[in-house]
Amino acid sequence: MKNWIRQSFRNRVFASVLLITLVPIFVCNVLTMVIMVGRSNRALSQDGKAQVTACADSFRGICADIEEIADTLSTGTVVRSALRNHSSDSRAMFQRLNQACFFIRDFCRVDIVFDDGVCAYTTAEVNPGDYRPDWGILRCAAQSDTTVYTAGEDGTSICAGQAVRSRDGAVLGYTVFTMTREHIDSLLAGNYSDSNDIFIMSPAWRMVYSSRSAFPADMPQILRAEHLSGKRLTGGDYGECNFYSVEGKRTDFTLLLRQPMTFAARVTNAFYGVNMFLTITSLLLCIAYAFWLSDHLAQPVDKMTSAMSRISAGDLDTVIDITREDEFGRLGEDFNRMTARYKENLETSVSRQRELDETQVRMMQAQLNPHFLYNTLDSIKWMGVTNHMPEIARMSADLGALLRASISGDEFITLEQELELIERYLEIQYIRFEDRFTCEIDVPWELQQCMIPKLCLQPIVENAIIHGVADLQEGYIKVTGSRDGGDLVLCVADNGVGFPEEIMEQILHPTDMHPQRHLGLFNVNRILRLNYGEGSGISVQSEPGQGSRVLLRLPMHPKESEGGTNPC
Amino acid sequence: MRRLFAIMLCALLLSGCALSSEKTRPNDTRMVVLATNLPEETVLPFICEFENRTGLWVTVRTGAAREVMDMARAGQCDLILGLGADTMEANRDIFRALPYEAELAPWVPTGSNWMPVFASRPVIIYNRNLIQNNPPEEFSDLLDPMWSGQIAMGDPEKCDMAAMTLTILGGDNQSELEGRFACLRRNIAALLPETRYAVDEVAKGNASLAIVTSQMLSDRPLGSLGRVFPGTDTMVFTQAAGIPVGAANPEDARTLLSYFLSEEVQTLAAEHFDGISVLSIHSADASVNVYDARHAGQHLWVVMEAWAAVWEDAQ
Repeated sequence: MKNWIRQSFRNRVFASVLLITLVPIFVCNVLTMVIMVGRSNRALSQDGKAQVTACADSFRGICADIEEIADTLSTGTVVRSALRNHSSDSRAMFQRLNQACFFIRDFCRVDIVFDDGVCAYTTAEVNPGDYRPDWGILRCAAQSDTTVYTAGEDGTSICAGQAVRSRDGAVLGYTVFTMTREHIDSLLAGNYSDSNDIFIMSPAWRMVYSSRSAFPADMPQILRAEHLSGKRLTGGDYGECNFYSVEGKRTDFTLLLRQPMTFAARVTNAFYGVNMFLTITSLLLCIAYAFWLSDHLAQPVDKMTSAMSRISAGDLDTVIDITREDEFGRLGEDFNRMTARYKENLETSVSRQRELDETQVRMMQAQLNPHFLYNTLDSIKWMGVTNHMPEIARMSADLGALLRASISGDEFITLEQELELIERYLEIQYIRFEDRFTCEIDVPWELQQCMIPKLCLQPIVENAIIHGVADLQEGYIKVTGSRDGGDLVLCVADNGVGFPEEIMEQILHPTDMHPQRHLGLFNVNRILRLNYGEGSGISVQSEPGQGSRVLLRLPMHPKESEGGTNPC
Repeated sequence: MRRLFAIMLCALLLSGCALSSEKTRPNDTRMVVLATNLPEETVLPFICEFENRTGLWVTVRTGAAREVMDMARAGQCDLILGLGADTMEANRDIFRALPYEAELAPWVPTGSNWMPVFASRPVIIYNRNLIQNNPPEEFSDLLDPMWSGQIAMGDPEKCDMAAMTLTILGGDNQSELEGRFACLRRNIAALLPETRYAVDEVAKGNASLAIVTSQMLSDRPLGSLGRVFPGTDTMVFTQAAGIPVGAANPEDARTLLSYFLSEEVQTLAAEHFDGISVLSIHSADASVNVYDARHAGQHLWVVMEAWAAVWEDAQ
């Protein structure tokens, strides 16, 4: 997996996008679920405990009232007297009963019962009937001196009772308090929310009260069985609920609050199901997006890599197909431009190399039998001396010097040597043109020590003679030299006929084609540019009939001096 | 860092599984399991009082007679209650010996392992809207062809009250039994899981008549129901109790059985169950023809085989 990611830019982008999109979604979903369920359950738990505590408080309150009233009635003379006399129509007794029970009559029924179980007085509108003296609440009350609590005989009420005894301890009768379902409803109303249920379980955990009249018939048995087995109370498969219980200290009855769970297992499972669905959906979307994005990013890189491979293989015509306008598009354009320029430079180099090769060939051809020509010229010179023809001797000597310079192996010579060759050349031309022109050379001595390509100035002077002043009676040519920053500027000026328009055009916009005229000018320009770059070369200023100025610009290169300071 | 992240993620996921719950557990509670074929509401008032008096907890499991007997055989209960004397006598081997019979119920066979607890009288009930004249007066009248398809009855295979009905109606030998059962089979409208459902069937008019016990009619208005206590064959149907050999808590079961046999319970039961207490059957009502349990117990297998033969032929 690690290698799979590392091996490819596309895979790395794919994995990164997948990771940074999926993990936050998944973590956020789970975190939200856990926090939401946890907080809800905690709030529900607190709420449930508060409600069951409130109900228990109410229940304890009524029990305390009952016990207080039971004590009051059991020790009262009126009650004792009525029970002792088996009087069931005592007005004082009725008043006493109603007075004592005024505040609790909404929450329980109070009966005064003779020792044989006959109900003598009651706060109910209808006499509830007789009790069995050896059964239920009366049996328990007879065995205790305090208030006792039992489930009612019908199993759906709570009874509290206390024996009324004579001074010698004999049982005269009983006060019995009965809390029916309606009474308990009134007592607990408002202490718990409607969505919850309150159950009251007897000491043996039999349900004696339920706030909900309709509930599953087997729920009491299930609760009792769960209680007995010590399991967590669930109430059976009737919806997931929390149960909160409070055990009564006085009564041994247990209050149970049944609270439906907001996030029951099926709700939570539904949440997790939706969560899983969203995660899977997100996963699919992320995979699709990550695939698209990685492809989108990797495609131009792949194209470029492929193009680079083709170029490496020598296919310089490779062009990237650009379909985008973003950074990758611009990168592709730059790549294409770079490739085109590289191809152009390569072609130029090849062309220059070819020219160089041709030049070398020509030079080699030109060097064929150079000594033969030089020796011939030397023979001519001595024939001129012998025959008293000094001009021929001088021309032969000058021509030999020029020939020697041209065939020498040095590509670069000092400007001083070049000027000396020019003077040799002028000697010859003076004889030929019978002194119809003069040439003045004015180059500072310090510039004459700079190195320049061999025979780069002579062709300009020749050009000025042949095409400039040849037809004049008083031609004038001046060769000057100056310094312009780091460049050496040599100027050949004449007062000749000037350059024709087409020659000017060729000089201003040189091509690879060799011109028919002014070949020396063209060659010098090429030599300077080849040696020193595009910033060097020839420039021409010419006015037809007014003369011309040919300027040679080249970098100033000093001669390597043997000690001492080079003036350049 | 990656491991830490993974651990945190796992902890986060697992934390959602832990929810607090209220747990309750009673203190060292002693418990008796009572299996009965009586309706729970019939025995519950007695049970509640017992729990109140003794502090013992009683778990009541109800079912048809066969299910109750199965629970006893499997040792799933400490005491069974409500089965007929003939059924108890027929299965006496699965119960522990009881010490009461001589003093409390002299008519119980010597050495029996079961004890009658409640008693009620068999009674013929009929729908007065359907039978306005000449209702049956004796059990044998139910074999008359005029009641063809009009009798509701419990399934004798499951319900021992129905089995007792067969012994009441049956004869002494196989052919006599099968002859009478064939007549009964012809007259049966519906065979019910338990005999007490026959009360509702007759009241609703789905059947014209049935044999039930007086206990099944207690605490309910008769309404359209008429009832006849057969004069010549008057007898009681006892609902007995026994402690299975495999009972986990036989001592507390014995306490519960003693409570059922106490004077308070028997008096209250007599009020509810047609005035018959098992304590007074033998002496108080000399006219009552006491059910011969030993004979019925020994005869029960023969009766049931005859019934099965007739029923299968009819099927």
